[in-house]
Amino acid sequence: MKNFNNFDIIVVGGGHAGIEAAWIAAQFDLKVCLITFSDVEIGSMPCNPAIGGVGKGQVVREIDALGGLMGKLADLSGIQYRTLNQSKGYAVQSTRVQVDKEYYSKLAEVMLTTKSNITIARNKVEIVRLKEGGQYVLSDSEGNEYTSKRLIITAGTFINAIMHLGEDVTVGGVIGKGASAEFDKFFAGVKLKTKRYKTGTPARLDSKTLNFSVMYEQKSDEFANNFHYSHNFTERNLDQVSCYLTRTNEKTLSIIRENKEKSPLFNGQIQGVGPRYCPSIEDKAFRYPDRNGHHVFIEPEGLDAQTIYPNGLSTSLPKEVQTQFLRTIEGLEKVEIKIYGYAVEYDVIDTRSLGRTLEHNEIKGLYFAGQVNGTSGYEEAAGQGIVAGINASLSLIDSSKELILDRNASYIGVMIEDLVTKDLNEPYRLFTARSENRLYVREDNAINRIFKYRRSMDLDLDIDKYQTFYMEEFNLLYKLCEKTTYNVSEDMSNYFKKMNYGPLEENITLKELVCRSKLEAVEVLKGELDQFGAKFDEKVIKAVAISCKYEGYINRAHIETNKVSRLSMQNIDWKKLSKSKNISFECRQRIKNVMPQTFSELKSINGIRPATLAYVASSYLK
Amino acid sequence: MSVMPKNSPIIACSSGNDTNTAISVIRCSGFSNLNSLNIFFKKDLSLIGPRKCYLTEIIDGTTTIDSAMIIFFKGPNSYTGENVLEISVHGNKLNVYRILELFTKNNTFRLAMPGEFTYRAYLNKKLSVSQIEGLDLFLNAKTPLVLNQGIMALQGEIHKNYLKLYSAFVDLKAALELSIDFVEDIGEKAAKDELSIKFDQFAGLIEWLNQRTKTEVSSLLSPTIILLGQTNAGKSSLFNRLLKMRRAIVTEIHGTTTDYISEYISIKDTDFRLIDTAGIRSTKNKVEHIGISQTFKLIENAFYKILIVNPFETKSDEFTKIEDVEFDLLVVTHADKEGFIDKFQSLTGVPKYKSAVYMDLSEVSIASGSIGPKNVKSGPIEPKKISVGPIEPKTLKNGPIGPDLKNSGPIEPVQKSCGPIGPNLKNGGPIEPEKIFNGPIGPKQVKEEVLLSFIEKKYSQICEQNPILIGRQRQAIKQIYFQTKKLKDVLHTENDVAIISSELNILQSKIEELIGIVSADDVLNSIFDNFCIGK
Repeated sequence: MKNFNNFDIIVVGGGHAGIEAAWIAAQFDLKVCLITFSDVEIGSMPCNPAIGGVGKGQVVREIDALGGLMGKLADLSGIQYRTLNQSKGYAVQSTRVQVDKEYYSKLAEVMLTTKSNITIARNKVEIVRLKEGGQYVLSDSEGNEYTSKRLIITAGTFINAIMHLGEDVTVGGVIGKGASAEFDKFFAGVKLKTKRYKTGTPARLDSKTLNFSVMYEQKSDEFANNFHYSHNFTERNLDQVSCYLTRTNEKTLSIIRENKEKSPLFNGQIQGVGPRYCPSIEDKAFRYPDRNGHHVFIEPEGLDAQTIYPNGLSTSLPKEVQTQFLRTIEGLEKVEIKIYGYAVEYDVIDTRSLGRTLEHNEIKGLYFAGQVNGTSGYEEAAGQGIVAGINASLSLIDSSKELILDRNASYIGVMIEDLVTKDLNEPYRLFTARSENRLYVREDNAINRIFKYRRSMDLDLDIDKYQTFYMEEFNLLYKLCEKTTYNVSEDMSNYFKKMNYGPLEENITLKELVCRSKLEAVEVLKGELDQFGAKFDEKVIKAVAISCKYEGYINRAHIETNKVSRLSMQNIDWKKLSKSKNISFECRQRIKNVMPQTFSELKSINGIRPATLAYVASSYLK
Repeated sequence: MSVMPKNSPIIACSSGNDTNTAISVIRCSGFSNLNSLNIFFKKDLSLIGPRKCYLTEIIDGTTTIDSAMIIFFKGPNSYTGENVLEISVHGNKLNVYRILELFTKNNTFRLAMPGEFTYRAYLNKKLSVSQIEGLDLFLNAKTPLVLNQGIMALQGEIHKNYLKLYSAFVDLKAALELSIDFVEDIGEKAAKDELSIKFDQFAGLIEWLNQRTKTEVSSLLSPTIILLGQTNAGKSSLFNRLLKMRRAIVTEIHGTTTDYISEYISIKDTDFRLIDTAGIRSTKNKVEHIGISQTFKLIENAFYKILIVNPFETKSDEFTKIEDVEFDLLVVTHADKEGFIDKFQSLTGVPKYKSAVYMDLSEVSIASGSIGPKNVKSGPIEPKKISVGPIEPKTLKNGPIGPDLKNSGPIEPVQKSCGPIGPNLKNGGPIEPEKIFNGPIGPKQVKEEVLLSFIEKKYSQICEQNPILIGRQRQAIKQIYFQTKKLKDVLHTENDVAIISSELNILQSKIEELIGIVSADDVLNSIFDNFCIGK
């Protein structure tokens, strides 16, 4: 038995939330201990081997701008890039990178272990106690003891976890790994959601047994931008591979439909709520009987790895049924399965008992982040991890400080506000639709959005120097765009014609030129700067061009939202409302569950009736 | 409505209280306990059940003031959602006043402010904003159309349509979000199709609602028929003839200037105000000028505009003043006079019109010409008397021949007269004039009945469209319609979904305004400030 004493912060769980929390805390020169299972890789990817995606790409860049790990790890282990929604405008564009998952984990471990103030303990935490004076004491399965001032729990799906594979039910959160039954006792004081959550994953396929030639190939996009600030936009660390696209068909679905009684999801074996946005193939087959095919994305799990992740086929059907239906899919006729798909049911905490710093409202010094908070996705977990890590650190350094991201400035802010204020009833994933300020919360301007938060952390590392430089460049170039004018002249008109800029009927500024709706903002600005011989960081050019383009729209949106927010920002007394006889029983229940503080929170409650809103607007607000 | 203190018990006489009536109904609302009203009644109120009628006496101390029928509505099952007591008493003004005094003197009740019962009903979610607007319409309706619309709005029909629009919008918004966040799951084409289906559904609804706002409202709430023409064209004759046929029982006169006279005529249960204008003439007289500009205002708001032209006494340059007005009907007079066709053909600058007829007003016009509306100070009797006179000789004269027969004489010349009328058709006149002048039967001299049937037809056509009459809703619908059109353009030209989505957000705020989620306060303030609703 050893004693690992006097840590500033202990992080329990080495997933995406845990490693961000530990990594950022170490930047504050605090003494950090990361305790994680000995047989689970650090920063592992138990589901799809990809980082980013619509809405999530923005989160990765926000994490990177806060000083996090994820963007760097994803770039260095990326093997296939895509820019999603490329044709739909900059605001909703997102980068997604397929990664070599093994490489990703190794890299994460290397980075953490080379930080001298991070200790990694590979054991199972069994007992947690809170001593008087606010010290946390943890004991692991080997009898070791750890003490710390702050505790961050990033336990993922491991609380009371049960796995389902056909009729087989095993205790645990990830295939082959045990759950922590004793550890759970500590959570008696933490309110859990009454509904358990459920998640699932598809079978992993032996890549040698797939016929790629009949599937649609999706090559890596060589122009997609890296996440990490110090990486060039398009440099690649690893070789690039392709993903493939195939489809399920009538045969696939009829096999699944014939085996309904064997499906834990549909025979009552699984009670938990799964995410509607990420349905299992059983869900798709039974809930949408009219559809006879769905996309399946064939994603390699690594350069050397022999396994394929078939995205879109998450299942908990018995092994033989999995094999049977997989082999009906084009290109998978001879497929062999390396690991079968399964579903997990787990407890999540009621995040309304957390504050916006992710600290527990009653138990001081205890933070929660990641899937244990009922979110899904590595990016969501990492985003919470870094916020919990920063706040736990700040509370030790200067108790007057805290980091609360505004929902108008970041997707992480949207997520945390939603988590701590709303009564969520399914695993939470970020969508761009969750943000009211989508035109502003973009990938290209992540540093602009996050700069003030990072600066408030009072650190002076490379990233801080870069961000200061970036902001200066940005402001300079923005001014340049506003000040540079093209005067009407024959030469200039000819130049406009030659460049396909459209007519030059009156003097216009460079900014106005960049904003012209038919033009590619970034290309135009880049081209013009080349003409002037002006050199700017390409990240700055991109952010300035897009900011110019959206400025008018953002301002107008603000005017509209201000009109609404005069009402929206007003406080309401939810207790009074929840007793009002003038509100339907159903709406009252929802109000009781959500406890909305403002009219806008009331408005965003699922299923609240317009009549109720009209009533509250008129009788409770002035 | 911060001006209205909440929760205190209020009382008011809910039936008309300016005159003596058989029965008046006094309404009390907001008292916490029925027994607290025991002092006012002989009957022990603890014994009465809700929604039942009791005969009792109202007492002041030991003195009986009146006998009364009372009904108790226990909140929330009442109009206001509070405890309500309705008291029917004898409708003598003084009696009602004395009872109100009694109930308010110890501050048990205070007199309700205008609209306060309805306001409480709104606060207690008994009525929605559009229902209240409907109630306003209903209680103040002057025509059956408005009455119908009022009751529909009051019963929540219109509100239902708005909620339907809202849910179509929510679907549209969801479809757009689908194309952003879930395009990989469902595929690009499916997302696009979904978006266009949802847009069409929404656009169809708003198009339909917008159609219902197209009618000029002011012309429907108290519809007017306006007669316009140059001096001696025969306006007054027509005025008198119409009046003779359909004079409404209401004889209220609204004309306050010497520039026009007006009377009410009744066509199929709807009272129309018939206005004989001052006529149009060039003038340098400033005072007259003001009169004429008032005339233009009347024209603008008129439900049915009739232009009367006597081709023998027409100065074409005088048409320039009204060249922008589109008339519902052109009435040509003096068609039987010699040289009619030439005269008519030589007319230039006749304003646009939708239909044309001619009427024989010749004899009458002489008579009325001598009166000249200008000289008659809104006197209802005189013009009527005179108009009665001249009509009779006319019927005598036309009687034996029969107007149609007589007029079949000049068929040919009149047919030729299509020439000059033709160009007017191009100016936007629809088919009807052709029917009248060119139809298989030939030109038709019409009588007043036909003219009235034109008016009736237009009115019933508009009623069939079920127009939305409430100003605020019309305004909001128009804005939504406009924003939807803009959105349609943006959907076609803009690839940037975030920009499309920001247009959608603007649309959303306008829809929320329509339903009353946003700025419901302002809506209600304006309603309660302007009207005395359901007092």
